[in-house]
Amino acid sequence: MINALLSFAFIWCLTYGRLPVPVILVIGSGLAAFLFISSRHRHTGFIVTDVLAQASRLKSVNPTLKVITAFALIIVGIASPSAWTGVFLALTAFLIATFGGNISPHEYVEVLSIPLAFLLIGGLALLIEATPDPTGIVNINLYYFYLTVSPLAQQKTALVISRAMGAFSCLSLLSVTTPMSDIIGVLRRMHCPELIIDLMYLIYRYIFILLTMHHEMMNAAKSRLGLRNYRTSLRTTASVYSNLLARSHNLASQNFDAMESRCYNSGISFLENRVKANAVQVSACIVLLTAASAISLITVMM
Amino acid sequence: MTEILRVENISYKYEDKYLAVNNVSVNFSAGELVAVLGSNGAGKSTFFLCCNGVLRPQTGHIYLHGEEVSTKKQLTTRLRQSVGLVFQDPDSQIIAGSVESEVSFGPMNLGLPFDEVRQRVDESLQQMDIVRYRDFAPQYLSGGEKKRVSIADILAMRSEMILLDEPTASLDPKNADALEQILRDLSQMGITIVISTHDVDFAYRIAERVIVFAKGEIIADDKPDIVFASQATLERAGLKKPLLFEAWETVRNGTVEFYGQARPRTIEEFRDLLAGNIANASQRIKHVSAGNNTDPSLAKAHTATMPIN
Repeated sequence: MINALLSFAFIWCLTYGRLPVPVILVIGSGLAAFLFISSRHRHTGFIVTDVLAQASRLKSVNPTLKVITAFALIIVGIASPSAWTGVFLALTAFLIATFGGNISPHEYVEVLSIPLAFLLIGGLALLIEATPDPTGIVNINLYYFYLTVSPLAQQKTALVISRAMGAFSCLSLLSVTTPMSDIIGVLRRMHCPELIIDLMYLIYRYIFILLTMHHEMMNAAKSRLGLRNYRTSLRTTASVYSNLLARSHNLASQNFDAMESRCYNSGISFLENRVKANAVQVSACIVLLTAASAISLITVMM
Repeated sequence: MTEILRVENISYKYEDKYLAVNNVSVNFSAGELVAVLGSNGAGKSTFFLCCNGVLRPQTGHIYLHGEEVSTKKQLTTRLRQSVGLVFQDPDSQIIAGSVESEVSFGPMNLGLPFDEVRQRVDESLQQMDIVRYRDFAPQYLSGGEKKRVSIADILAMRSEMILLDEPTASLDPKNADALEQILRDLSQMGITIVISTHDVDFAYRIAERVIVFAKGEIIADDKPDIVFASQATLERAGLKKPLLFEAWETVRNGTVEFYGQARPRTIEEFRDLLAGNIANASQRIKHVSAGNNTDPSLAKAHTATMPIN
């Protein structure tokens, strides 16, 4: 719901004065409706990207190729001076994940929803300025000053947000098509320090453990009318978060014991997918990189 | 039988000064099926963590195949490989995003070649009948399936001895029965199984040897029949007699006179022993009726047997 409202406000501020108002309304409300419908309540409360990766049709593609392509696309997206490159990367990642990887659009959007919320809030902060005079395209009078949106801010924000969106879409595509065990294997072959890999993996695992625990504790609180009004909700939430810390610490300790009992001594590693990249896969990656670079060059030349 | 693990006078005190294991000495041989009984907080889990090498006892010695396990990393690794530990809560054991990755974690830590790891994972998944869950996220499996995954974790390490901490806790009867069968099968394969539990019925049914813990000490270590016959031991450990054991004792001490010393450990054995004794009693009563025996106790047996017949 928050994402839907933010996206509508963002689209309005970004395109006001550049597109006719009815078109802005259609685009803004369409995107908001899509995000609102996509954020329906799930059975487990949240989505685990590793589960999507295990079910993805693109799981069997060589992981090294996927990691290299994703990082190359991120570099192209960030280096590009055109906002269209980011849009192209975001759309391409969406199409590859849904049609190529057989992940439902709803699940893909849900993976993107949290970073999307951050991006939209950041985007609004970049767009809106406080000025003493009404110099922008949009001017909201707050008696002592104006909240304005200038054409320059629109241009800058479009570029920054498209770069961020493109880069994040490439990472999301990688994470929903490649199991974590494969990514760890690739990082190890790239001589990434063991400590960083272990920390990365354990942080990743604990995000989901904490979310599960939080979900269970909030349900338990709800079942005992812990969220019946605003005041009780505040008290319950504070209590849940303080317990969450203690419980997660306890669970982390048990988890570490379990790892040690299976001879863990730094350097997490799992059985990984070691399929060789074939010519079709390599060609597809080269085409994708070439297309992203071409869009960047063409839009700059135009 | 070949000795696998021997612990001598080990003690473990937690940082808050709580003495969880106090001067414990015990040994385990190949192929044994042992139940470690005790109430909550008796020290069973800490004892298991010491046996696996996760916790280092402050006093005492641990011997693996007669060789003392010192602080040397190589020996500790050998201990952890040979003595696998299945945790009570599978969620605190499972760390990977898929069942296959999870089962491969132990063998990968042993530094085995990739093909060997894959082979071990395949075998363990087959043994636990969870091949179909290979690509599933373990956190979405049911309790019984998670338990199978956590046992497969240890099987993939080819441990000679498996310690299971409260394996039947939070399992439904069907899954508990399936787990019992798995443990029997593993024992048949020559793997030493040591189960920590406070489910006396389960322990009585499955174990060949029972060790009883109370306040961090071993207060009994014997055959189930002998341990469960001692009311004092059970009271000290805060345990009850197994239901079947108690039922048999009640029947034996009642109006029917029974022959033989055997006690039933499963409901099937109970039925067979009861039927066998009744048939035996009937035959002897016929013998008495023919005027060949003057044993007065048979008259009592006759009275008790008649309504059943």
